[in-house]
Amino acid sequence: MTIAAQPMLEISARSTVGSRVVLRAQGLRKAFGGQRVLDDLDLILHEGEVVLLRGENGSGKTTLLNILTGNLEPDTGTIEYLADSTPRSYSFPRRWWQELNPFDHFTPEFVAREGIGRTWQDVRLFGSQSLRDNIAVAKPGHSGENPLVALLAPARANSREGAFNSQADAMLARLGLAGREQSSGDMVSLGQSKRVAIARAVVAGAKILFLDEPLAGLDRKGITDVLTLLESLVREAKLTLVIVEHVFNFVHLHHLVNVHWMLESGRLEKNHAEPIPQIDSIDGIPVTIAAPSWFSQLAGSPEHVTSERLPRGATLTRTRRPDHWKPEAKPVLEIKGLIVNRGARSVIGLDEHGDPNGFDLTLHQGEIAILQAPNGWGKSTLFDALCGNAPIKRGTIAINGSTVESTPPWIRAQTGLAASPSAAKLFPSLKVSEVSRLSPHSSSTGSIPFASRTISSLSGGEKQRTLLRMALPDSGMPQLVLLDEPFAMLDDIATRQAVEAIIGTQPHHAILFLIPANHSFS
Amino acid sequence: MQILINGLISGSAIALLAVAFQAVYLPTRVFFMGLAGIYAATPFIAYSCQHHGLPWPLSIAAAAVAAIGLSWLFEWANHAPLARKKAGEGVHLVSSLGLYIATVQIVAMIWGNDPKTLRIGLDYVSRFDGLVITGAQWITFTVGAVALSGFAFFLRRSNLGLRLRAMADNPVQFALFGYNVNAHRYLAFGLCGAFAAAASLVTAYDIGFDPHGGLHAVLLAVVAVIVGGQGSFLGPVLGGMILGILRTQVVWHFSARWQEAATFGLLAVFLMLRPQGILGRETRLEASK
Amino acid sequence: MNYLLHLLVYFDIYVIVALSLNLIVGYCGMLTLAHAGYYAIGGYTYALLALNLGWGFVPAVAVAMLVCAVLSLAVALPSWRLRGDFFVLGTLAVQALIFSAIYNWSSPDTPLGSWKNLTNGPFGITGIPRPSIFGWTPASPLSFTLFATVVAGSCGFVLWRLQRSPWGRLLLAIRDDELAARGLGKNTRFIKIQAVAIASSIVAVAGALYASHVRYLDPSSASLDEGILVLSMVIVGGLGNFKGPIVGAFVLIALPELLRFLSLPDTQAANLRLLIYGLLLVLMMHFRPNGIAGAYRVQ
Repeated sequence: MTIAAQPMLEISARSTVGSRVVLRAQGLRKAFGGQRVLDDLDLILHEGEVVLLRGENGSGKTTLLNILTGNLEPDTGTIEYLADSTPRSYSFPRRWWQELNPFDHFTPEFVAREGIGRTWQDVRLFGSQSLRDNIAVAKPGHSGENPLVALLAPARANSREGAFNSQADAMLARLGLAGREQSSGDMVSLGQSKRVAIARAVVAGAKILFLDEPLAGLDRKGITDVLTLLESLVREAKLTLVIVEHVFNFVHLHHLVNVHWMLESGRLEKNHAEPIPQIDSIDGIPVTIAAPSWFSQLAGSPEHVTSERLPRGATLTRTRRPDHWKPEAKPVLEIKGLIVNRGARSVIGLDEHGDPNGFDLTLHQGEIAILQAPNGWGKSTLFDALCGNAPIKRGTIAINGSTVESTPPWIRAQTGLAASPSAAKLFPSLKVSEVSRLSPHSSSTGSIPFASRTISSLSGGEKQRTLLRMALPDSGMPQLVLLDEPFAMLDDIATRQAVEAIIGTQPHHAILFLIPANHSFS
Repeated sequence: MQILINGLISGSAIALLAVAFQAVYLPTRVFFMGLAGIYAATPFIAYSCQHHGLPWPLSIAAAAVAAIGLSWLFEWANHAPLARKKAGEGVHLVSSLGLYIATVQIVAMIWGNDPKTLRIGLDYVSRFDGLVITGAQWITFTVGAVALSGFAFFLRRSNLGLRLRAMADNPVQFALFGYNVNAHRYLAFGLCGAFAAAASLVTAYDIGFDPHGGLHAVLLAVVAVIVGGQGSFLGPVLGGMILGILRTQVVWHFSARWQEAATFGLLAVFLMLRPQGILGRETRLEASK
Repeated sequence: MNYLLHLLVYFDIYVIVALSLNLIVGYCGMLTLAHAGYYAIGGYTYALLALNLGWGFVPAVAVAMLVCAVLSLAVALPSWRLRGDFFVLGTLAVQALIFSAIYNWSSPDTPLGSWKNLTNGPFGITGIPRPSIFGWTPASPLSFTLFATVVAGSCGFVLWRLQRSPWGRLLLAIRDDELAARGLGKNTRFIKIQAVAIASSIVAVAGALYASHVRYLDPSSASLDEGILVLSMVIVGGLGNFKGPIVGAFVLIALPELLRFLSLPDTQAANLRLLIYGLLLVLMMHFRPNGIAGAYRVQ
């Protein structure tokens, strides 16, 4: 870490008690289709606090972020924005006549004008514009944004424009992007674009900044640069931060954060003292990632378990079913030199320094592999590339010995790919029995749970179980079973049952799990 | 009563075309304006066959085959390549409009711009209890009832129908189950061509046809889709009936000239207040989260 | 010579139409088919004011612009809720309503321009006076061409300046990512209303120019075919910059002239022109989605 230690200590040590309240919310509730996400949630945010918003996957962190930034309306509750000189408060549910008043809406733009800024995980710079324009456009109160002024008093608009542009250039210089003013947003690295997005929000007048996974997908250098920027913003601009970040990156935020919010069963537990979970680490990079709790159920005897580190914080753990492991036969899956892009940037196949050198993976019959990787690593991109839904840039993919990288998904399915995507969408309007008729894998007879219900009427867990049942091949040739976060919606018991179902499949299949990197804290 | 029946019968012609639109839109998400070209061209094929002395069943079969072939041609030459490039919905829409324009102009260059009719001589009329129903109306009603209920049965009962519904729900998962999405797109476009031919021929028999009527007919069908529910294959049948009744009522109570205003007024009301349609589930049309 | 001047006037008119449509499609990313409707409303407003009330060009056009700006809310407001295909459908409905109003707002026994017979329905308006600009009337073909070119030039200048202003930059930002722009506190809905109103009022000028040049108007200028044609023009020429739409207008004018060499009968030539236009749309989408000279592609 290159950040000087002294100011960090000051931040951590500074008591936030007694400083000004900048945001207060009370009694927030939000439910999606009967499923309660926020339940009578209260929160208070003080000036200068750096909050780490924590919680399990699916606990509603993003929902809370969306509500506080005006992107989503809560069902009930009140929110007071007190950051700037003209406080504004909203109470929900809002009455229909309030929507008739053009100066009182609960929308992102109104909330933004109360000094609330946010960044997105996928950055969202304005792609057709230069970096300078990306920052200059954010500046509020530009008279040139009035078409009449732009048309009739261009001199007035131009003088403002000059000032704004030089401010934008100064900001870019501060981000280490001097000379890149005319580059477009997708020509700079991910870390640089994330910093531009933060700068853009600050220029727009943010006093409270909500950051959605600001470190996701970044390499060491990128993480350091973003942290340096946040550090200086907190120190100099007295910015209040609320950070949602993946557990994997907590270790980097260690020095910055001074308040922890735990989001649990729809409520917040505020905790000043709770330490960031310590992960065995050398120079900030964890050495081991704990295997998920259901892993022992899958694994045979320990001598068959191997674990290898992959670049950028991922781990690949393998185990095998000794009687069926056939390393001499054609591998079920063979990936060589794979590089996959998302947008203009490579995501899969990067080494530790972010250089594309290709991703390799071979799985044999009877082998089970678990790829654990942090958000932003590119798990879902890898999944799509394996399924044939994302074009690959370089490399080969072979299933059961035949190369498939240029074939459509259904050919891969016929070659021996049984894939189950993470978001258990399935076919919302079909009945479970109809999905079973459709599935190539559910030839087994016997009663199907929920057979006469439509998929859309199932809960998340029921859907997930149905999907697993439909996606697991039960006979025939060796298959590559590809499971993207198969247990995300399941509780412990259901997970154990699902693992049993997976073990119960033909042992000559090769199984690849893609799951978020996980740490055990207890 | 007479007006209601007239409305229902003209509604069933709208419903046929609306089902044709949905047969493509739901599985492929292509806003298929080329449908208007198919609708316009089909009766001319039947007309030419008739004038070359073919018996009417053969003429109609030839027209239907031509409609399906044209639909497949559009998919093969335009929509399939664009879908491979993962083009956006606007690209499909604009190129589809281009196909419509091109088809209509070719039809006009071959057969001329004048209105024509498939029917020779006067239509026979049947009367019950003061109700008057023409032969053309009987045909429209019968074709509509048979084709629509047949389609409903196909969707519910057959494996192919199940696959079409599955593809409409989640094409990604559908492909991962090992089904050839491209082949099933041809199924969708073929069904679309068949229904377009049915809608077009019954209308041509009833009130005549010219090269330029296609777009208007497809617009009515799309209004029926929005009114009935854009998420379902058969919701548009209800929409078509409502639209047919509304339009005949407007003619009866006001004047034919306000038909369009009433139709598109109805569309505006639904788009703003209930964009998912009468039978639709709550889905969000808007992209902003 | 007169024929060339006539072509030049048409070019001027289409440049205004294309540039203003580009503001909605290329700068806001809103695919509209209703623009021809506003073009016709502009023409009718001018025609009625000039014919019935004897107004001069400038005040009549000013009123036409105002009328179109107000009515443009019918395109701008649905964009709050509708996206993609469904927005296009909404604009189709607007277009159909405008056409229906122009086509049906007539009554045989009442004088043209009265409340009962505002548009004279399918028969259209004849004998529209030449423009009178504070007493000066461009009567000769040459002077009318000069006049039209000056009008088109000023409309172009207005749009050029707006597109290069911070306002234009904000439009592009909204087009690229509306939610991100809203997150920066930008009132994107209001900006879109402004853009659609400006574009619609500028196309009203083109409508008035057309009415005073041809001196006859009928509902076909508000027809859906016309709407598709002007949209094709900007898509073929190119969207999102200044030169694309001008190229599109040029192609629209040049194409029928090239077809003259084939010496086809008139109706066939008209069909062939539209056929080529349709095929151009398809080919552009496949091989040149940015159009001939554009900077933005339909999404």
